[in-house]
Amino acid sequence: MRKSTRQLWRMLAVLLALGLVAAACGDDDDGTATAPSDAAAQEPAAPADEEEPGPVDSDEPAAEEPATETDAEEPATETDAAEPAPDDGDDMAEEPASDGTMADESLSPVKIGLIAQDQEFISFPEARPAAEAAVAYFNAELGGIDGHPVEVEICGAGDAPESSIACAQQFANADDVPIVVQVTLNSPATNETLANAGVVGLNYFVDFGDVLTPGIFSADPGLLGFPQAVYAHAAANGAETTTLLIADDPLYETFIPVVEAIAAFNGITLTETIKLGFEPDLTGSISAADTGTGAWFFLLADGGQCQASATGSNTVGYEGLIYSLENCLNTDLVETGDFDGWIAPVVSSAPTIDGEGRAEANRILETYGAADAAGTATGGWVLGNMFIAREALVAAGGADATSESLIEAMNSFSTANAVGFPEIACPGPSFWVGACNPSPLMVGVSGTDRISLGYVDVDYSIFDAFLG
Amino acid sequence: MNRVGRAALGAVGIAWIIAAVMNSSVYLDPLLFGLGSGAIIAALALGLVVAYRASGVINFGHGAVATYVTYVYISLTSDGVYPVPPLPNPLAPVEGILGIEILDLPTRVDFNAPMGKAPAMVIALATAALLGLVAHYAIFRPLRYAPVLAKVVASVGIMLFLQAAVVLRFGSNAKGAEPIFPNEPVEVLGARIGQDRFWVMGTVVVIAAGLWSLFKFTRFGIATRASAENEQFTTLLGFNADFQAGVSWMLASVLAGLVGILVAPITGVTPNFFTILLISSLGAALLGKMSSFAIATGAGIALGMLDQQLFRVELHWDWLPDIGWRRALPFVVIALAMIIGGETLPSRGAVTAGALPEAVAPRITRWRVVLYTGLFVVAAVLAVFAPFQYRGGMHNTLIGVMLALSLVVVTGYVGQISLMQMALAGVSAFAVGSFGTDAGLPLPVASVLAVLSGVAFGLIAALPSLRTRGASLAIVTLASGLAIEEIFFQRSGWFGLDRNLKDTDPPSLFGLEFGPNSSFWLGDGKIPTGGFGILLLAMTALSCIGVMRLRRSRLGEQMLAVRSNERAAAAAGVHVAAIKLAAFGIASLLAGLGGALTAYKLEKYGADSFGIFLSISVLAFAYLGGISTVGGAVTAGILYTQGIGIVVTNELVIDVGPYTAYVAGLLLIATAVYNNEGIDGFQRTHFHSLVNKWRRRRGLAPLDSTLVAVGPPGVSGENEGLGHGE
Repeated sequence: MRKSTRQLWRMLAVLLALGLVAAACGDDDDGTATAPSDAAAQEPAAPADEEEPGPVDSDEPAAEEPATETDAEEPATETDAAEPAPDDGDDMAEEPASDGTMADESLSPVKIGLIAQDQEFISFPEARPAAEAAVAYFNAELGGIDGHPVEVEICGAGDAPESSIACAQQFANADDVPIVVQVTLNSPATNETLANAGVVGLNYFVDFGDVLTPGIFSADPGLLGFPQAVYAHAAANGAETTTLLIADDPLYETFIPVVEAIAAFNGITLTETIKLGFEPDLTGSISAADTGTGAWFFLLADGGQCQASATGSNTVGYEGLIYSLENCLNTDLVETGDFDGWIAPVVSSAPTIDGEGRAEANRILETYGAADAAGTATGGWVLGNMFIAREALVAAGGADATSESLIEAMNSFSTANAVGFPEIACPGPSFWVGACNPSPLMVGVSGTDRISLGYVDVDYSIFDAFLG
Repeated sequence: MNRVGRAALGAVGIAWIIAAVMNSSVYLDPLLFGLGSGAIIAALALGLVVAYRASGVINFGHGAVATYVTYVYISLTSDGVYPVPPLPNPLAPVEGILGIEILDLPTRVDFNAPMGKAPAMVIALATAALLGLVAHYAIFRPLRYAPVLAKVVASVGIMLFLQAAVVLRFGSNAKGAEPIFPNEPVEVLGARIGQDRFWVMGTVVVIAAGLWSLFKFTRFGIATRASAENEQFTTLLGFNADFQAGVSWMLASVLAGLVGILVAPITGVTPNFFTILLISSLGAALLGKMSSFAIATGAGIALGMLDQQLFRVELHWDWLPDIGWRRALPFVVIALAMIIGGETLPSRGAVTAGALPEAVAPRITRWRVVLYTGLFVVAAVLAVFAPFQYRGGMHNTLIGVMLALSLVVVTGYVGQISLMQMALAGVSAFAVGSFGTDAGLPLPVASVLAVLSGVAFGLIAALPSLRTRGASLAIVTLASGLAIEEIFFQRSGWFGLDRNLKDTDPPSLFGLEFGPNSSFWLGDGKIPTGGFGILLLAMTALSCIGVMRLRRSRLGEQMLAVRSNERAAAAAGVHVAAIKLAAFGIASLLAGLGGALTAYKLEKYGADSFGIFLSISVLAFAYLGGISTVGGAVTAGILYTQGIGIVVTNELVIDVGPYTAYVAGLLLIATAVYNNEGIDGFQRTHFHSLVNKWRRRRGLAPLDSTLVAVGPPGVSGENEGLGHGE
């Protein structure tokens, strides 16, 4: 009896343990999902495609039933083409916008692949719902691709390259996934697999291979474009010297001479490089930096270093220009007020920064079951890249697109319809064939607000020398 | 420390003082700047000490608790949302995985406005206390008599589970918090430092003093210490050891949460932030022998100061080679301290000692030969001819088996907990690229040299095992693995990177390429190709046979004798040190082989593929499968990252997607608590029990009496397993 009582208590304890933390992992089903932002409600959404009917203003409650050619009651979806989650948005978000054209479910689907690094510690959990929201939007409002429903085939990956490689192999072997959006930091290990199979990759730009591998493209200015944007901006604001504060990480070390050369190209002298470790308090390391240089550029590997860098900089009392990558300007960090005066180039204005496309990006994410991805850089990045993938497929022949036609299309591709992105044009200049985004948006922090400082054009020809 | 050591230390101290007077910016300021980081490291170390004192657990989940509680606090102060409602929905993960809604229960409480810091802190710390209680009663109380390994695995499970919960619930973005302490900078001896660092340090010192007083002067503290010394006597005196442990766990969790909340305004927080910091804190706690609050606090602060000092020295002495001194040196110092001092952690005086899983040596019967042949054929079909996704899964499984086998030898047979196996695999992986691709040596030569490199590193890193065991060795091997990663894998060099990654050409022999992306004449032409499967299968099969033979050999018996009782083994004429080194050598060879094959599989790889947390994961998988048998290693391989078991589950049953780490954490905890023998032991016991029941009904003799006898440790017979703990 005593034993069974113990077992009962143990079971209860296990249930409590499960419940305590596990409950925190479930969907929010209490109707508290993020409501559309004010901006989304007040600004008319930009048309996503000139040829398509524009989405409705999100100020207007959705129509009782979507007006569609097929008069279907729900957005056309199949398998992975996600349906809007029933309760992730608010009430007005439960029906798709009314003026769209729905895809014809009876037609064969067109597939876009997604490698989502979302299974371990270094994780992009917003990628999956944002991609699903994108295809749901395509099918509900843009008529899929030439009427064919769009599906996203998602392959989840962990931190180590093994699982990303397995995903790349999956798409390389598949006959029906001609283009893959890669939300993984392991793209250097997957690019060749995709490229050898003729599958187009749309990547983060974490390594030269992301823009130099034939068939791999990036709508991300990356570790070449960002420093160029930073130093062009710094030079325009009178900086003549700079300090580079860089994560003590081999991935970044390669870029020290690159950053130095880019600074020099802009007439700025890199006077010192400070390597920031992963100690919790970075004040000591930052105190070693010269407060007399005109600009500090924080090139940090992990958002976790951002807060410590901001508090360190504030303690030291540096008064020059402070730049970082966009991982330091997320909503949660900026709201602490410690990032006042910081400036960063961002890939996409959507959905975090006021700018063209923000309202539309947030509307799509919130309407189609990805409310949690709204307001995140990854959500905006994935959404924009899904737009690019769709546009590329349309340009390559729609449902009849093949690997060959897609690669051909990508080599003379441009679009201004990727929500939140500037005009994307492939191939990139000179050797940088995969570099398709020549204009990152500069964003500054004023108090706890982010403000747009405008797009900065990147001249890739200055990078040719890096290829030796 | 002997006289020479003290004199040397004194000389260094005096030299430092002179240097500080002459150049304070290089030799004095860093010590002040290091106070902030040091205080944070010390605070986490205090929590580790409390947990260890309570139940002899080195809690790798401690950092994850800090993270979770900090996120709860930030959620309350920024959004006014408490993520765990009074009526939690235990169906949430099931709903999330299946994508259906079973029951509409609220999973968070919305206060409709951001909450003040004080009430938010109270609620967050109450959550921490609850987590501590649950950790004790649901996990560590059932494990109180279990071997150290089971506790280590359970704490790794907590780490995985809570971190996954944070990512799933709060996302992976960095988050900051508004300051709690005044944070205006002040000038101290010319250095400009935020006031809040001193506040944090003061708080940590007060907490340390409070804990010391609690354990020194109060009835509760004295009883807890007495329980740690001798639980049986303390219980006879009328103290409730269980209650004491529960309170201590609660205290440790609250400490973790408090640290997170107090330092988040300085550091920010990401899902793995405090877990990464935990490695330094483990070092500090270890220096305090996991029992001294004062030494753990002092060591934590000293580590923070030393880190800053090394930073300035590296910057100032530009002739010093950049080999990752900062992150590696504190741990090298700890390892050296363990070797020289030979100190071990005080083990908990539990009523009974737990047993490691049984190391069965199955008789090679006719049926077994048939079974093994069948398994080999199935593996061959899967590795060469199966559809590509299953083929890839089988390839990952075969590598996982090799890595798990290395732990079967060193942990399962000899009882030495190694948390550096992936680092040793990495040495061979980087070396095979250097010897093969860079130096152009042929496959057999490059592979042999690479594996031998791994063995050499393994033997050097094993030296502390001659003087330490159990939890101490776990930390030392963790530190050694980290040192290898920092000094070699993160830098360019022979055992490191080419640029920011390492390239390895596909393996080739007699003109035939066996790489996963090489075209191969067998199979469907899709990647990974079957040729790589043949290479993997050959290596893994040979390794399995080798380890099975090792278990039945005289060396294997001596290993088990060492695992059972080192003193008794030595008295019986076994050279304990030689046996331990032999085990580490063989294990390094197997890990190195796994590493070299991983390199061939990846073709491009970096330090992340052989990081310290992967070492912990491999140990966890090996334990889950069954760490003392070859069958267990095979099971571990099946469950390994993207292994065949995972692929089959994803393809045919359900894809758990983002819940992978979450589910893995739960499985680890469940295995450690409820099935110490691992899956292999479970199936062995139950399968043989069923078969023998069937045979008895027909009047036949039991199939294999030696395999049925899974139970308490017994005296070894020719084929009997040994179930002894450390």
